[in-house]
Amino acid sequence: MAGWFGGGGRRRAANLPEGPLKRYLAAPIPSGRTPLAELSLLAVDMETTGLDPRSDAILSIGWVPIEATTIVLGGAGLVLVSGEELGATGVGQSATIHGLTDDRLAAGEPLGEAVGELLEALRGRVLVAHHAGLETGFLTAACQRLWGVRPDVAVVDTMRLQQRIVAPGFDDEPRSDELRLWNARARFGLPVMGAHDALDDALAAAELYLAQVAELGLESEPLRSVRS
Amino acid sequence: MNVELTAIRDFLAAHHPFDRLPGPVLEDLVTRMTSRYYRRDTVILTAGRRAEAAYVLRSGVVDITDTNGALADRCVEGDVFGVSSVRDDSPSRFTMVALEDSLALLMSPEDFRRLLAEHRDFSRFFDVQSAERVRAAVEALRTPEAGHDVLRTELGDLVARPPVAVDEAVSIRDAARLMTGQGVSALLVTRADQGGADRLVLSGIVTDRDMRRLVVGEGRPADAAVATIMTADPFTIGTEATAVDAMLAMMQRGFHHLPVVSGGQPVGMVTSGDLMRLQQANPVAIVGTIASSGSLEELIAARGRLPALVHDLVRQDVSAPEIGRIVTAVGDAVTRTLLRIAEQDLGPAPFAYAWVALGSQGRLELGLSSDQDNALVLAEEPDEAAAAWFAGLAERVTQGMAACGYPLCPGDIMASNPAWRLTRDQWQHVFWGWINEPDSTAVLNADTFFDMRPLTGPELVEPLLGAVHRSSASPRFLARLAREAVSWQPPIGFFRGFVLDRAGQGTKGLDLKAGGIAPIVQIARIHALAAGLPEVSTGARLGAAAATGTISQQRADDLRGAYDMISHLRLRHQSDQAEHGQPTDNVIDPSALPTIDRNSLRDAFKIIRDAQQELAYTYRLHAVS
Repeated sequence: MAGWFGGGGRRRAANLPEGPLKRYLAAPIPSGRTPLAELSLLAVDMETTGLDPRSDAILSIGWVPIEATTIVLGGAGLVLVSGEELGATGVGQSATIHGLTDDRLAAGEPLGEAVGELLEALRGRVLVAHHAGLETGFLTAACQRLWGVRPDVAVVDTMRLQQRIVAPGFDDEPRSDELRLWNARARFGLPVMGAHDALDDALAAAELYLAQVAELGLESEPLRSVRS
Repeated sequence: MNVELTAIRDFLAAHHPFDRLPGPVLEDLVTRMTSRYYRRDTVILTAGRRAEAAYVLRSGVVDITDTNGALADRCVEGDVFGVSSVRDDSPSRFTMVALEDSLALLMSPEDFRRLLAEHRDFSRFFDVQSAERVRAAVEALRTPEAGHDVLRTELGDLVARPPVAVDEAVSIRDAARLMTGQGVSALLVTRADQGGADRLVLSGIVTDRDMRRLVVGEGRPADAAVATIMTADPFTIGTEATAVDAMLAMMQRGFHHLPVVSGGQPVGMVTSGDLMRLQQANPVAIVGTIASSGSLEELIAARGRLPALVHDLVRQDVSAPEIGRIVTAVGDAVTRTLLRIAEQDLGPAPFAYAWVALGSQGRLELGLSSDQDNALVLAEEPDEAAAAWFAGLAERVTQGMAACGYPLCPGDIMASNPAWRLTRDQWQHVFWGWINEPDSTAVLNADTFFDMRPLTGPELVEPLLGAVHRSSASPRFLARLAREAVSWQPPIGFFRGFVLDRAGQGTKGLDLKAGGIAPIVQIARIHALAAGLPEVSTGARLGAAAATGTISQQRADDLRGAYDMISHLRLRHQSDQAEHGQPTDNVIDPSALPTIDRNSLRDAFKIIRDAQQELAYTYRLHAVS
């Protein structure tokens, strides 16, 4: 359990002002022994200006909750981060990838509010993402910058789960493109979607997670067997 | 928070009936749904349990099976299942299993029922009114290509000028002058109505043929009254009748002129020439050529024009039953002409006889690939010479028909088979045996004989048919027919280009006859026989059965719609084959059909299965699911 909620998260939480991070840290996170069939999760996807949480910025965050093996569409969320945080460079080249123009981002929310909304949705849940390092990296970096705390987050990475499916043997090396979100989904016949925003991608990861749990027969397995 | 799950909303909006929900309702629905994944072979719902949700399949394949394990439906992307259990809050009658890895959207029973209650366009889809959809499909199929709807023209619009008419007392000479002067080939003959002042009553019709035959040929005096050579009380047709109706009347009666009347008053005349100008391939002309043929070669050539005619009719606004009647009128003309030619060769018949059409020709439902079914009803017991004469007649006519495109009946139900050349009394005995001792006198396809229609000698046949219809059919006989009617198994639907049967097996070709037409024909026949109805065509039988209450009006309408729809597809298929010089058959490739036709066929199959189930229940047939 080392590091699960280590790093002093709880200690520092006591000193935080009232707000989403404090409430997030105060809520009990599912234990590593919880079977997946009883778990509450939140599939998350972020659009960012680049891959480095230290120098790049979050443009938008999408999420959709999963209760055990059911996606709850009504809990879906999408926030755009306002451009103020991005400085003079603006969205720049990444706009061609995300379709998020500076104009649209101007209508977004300050980073603190956007991350706050994510933390409210994530409270008591396990974060699910495809290649989750990006989402957790940007989330903890944002919390550090905003509130001086790096929260620990319980994470399931659907890319890692996919690796188990396509390369079950110890020495098997999956081809990297096999692990991409949309290729991984194709393996299960999951629907192909057109242009997508962070919410569509969060939903895509959520659906992939359900397929992987079913394929690997993990419903009664504990969280610790799949978390990253 | 203004969140749009565009992927889900767009998915639903792309599928019927969700496309009927207003945008805001659809967006609200999305936020109320959940989504689940089912690995292949997962049982989603077991028969006997209540569905916890109505499911919309987003990806994958789900099989719906009944409690006997027979496939009832196979759902693909966009299909909705679990509906009846949720709607009626009743245990599901079906088990639902993921055939492939499947992703579904779930609607709570409350949400689903609210949508049904509040959105009529949406709920209509689930009304089990597959029939309504079939009817819409029939309408859509019959939508003519541009400029091809001329045969729907009402005669009131077609009649260009008031009738050229003369009084009964006018002389033949004056009448002939009037015809020449007006450039018409026929005159209406009228008399003043004794009741009304200006009203005229139609007394008869005179054609230039009558002038030639009676005045020139027989030397009737030209100063006699025209009434002496007219055809009195001629067949008339109303202004609201269509060009197709006029065409059928002319073909069936061999007329070329039809007086058009409105409210008992003659308002005009429609001629075969008028109809011929409406379209190039004209059935009246074909029947005329057939009737005047003097040799088999001429007949074959005339009959050879039929496929092109059907090709035209299918693309016009002409319904499948109407085309069936036209094709039958051509078949009847071929048969009668062959009889005439045979009698010329063989010498006069030893005594009166009736040539009867059976099966599809009897029902006025000939298609382009139909076999011939026929028999002879003899006025007397034939001696050896007479028997040889009738054998010769039957041989010539049946072989002649085969040469003209009506294949010999594989079951040998033809007049060339001595078993089917019987006297009226013998026929009555045979029918009596079928009806009352169905087990001891079982004859394969005996039901074909109950579609009997005389082509010649109706006076010999009508008492026989009257006796058949009056005798109440025994329950055992009807049960035997019912067993046969439910033994045809319409497919479940289509799956990835294959036709799907109840065992979940896929085949490449769809047999429209075995899968759709044959069972409906049999169901209609049973209802007609059970109620002692004289009607022979399937649509008329269903309509009459509904009128007597042996079948519900809804069921009759559904079956008629399904029959028209499948028949239309078959005619279209056969005329396409004929157009390409291929032999005609009943088997179509479902993957070549537009989605709308495939969906309508699936609905039509369901209508048939429902009617079969009702029949099985009525006649207490077991081992039928």
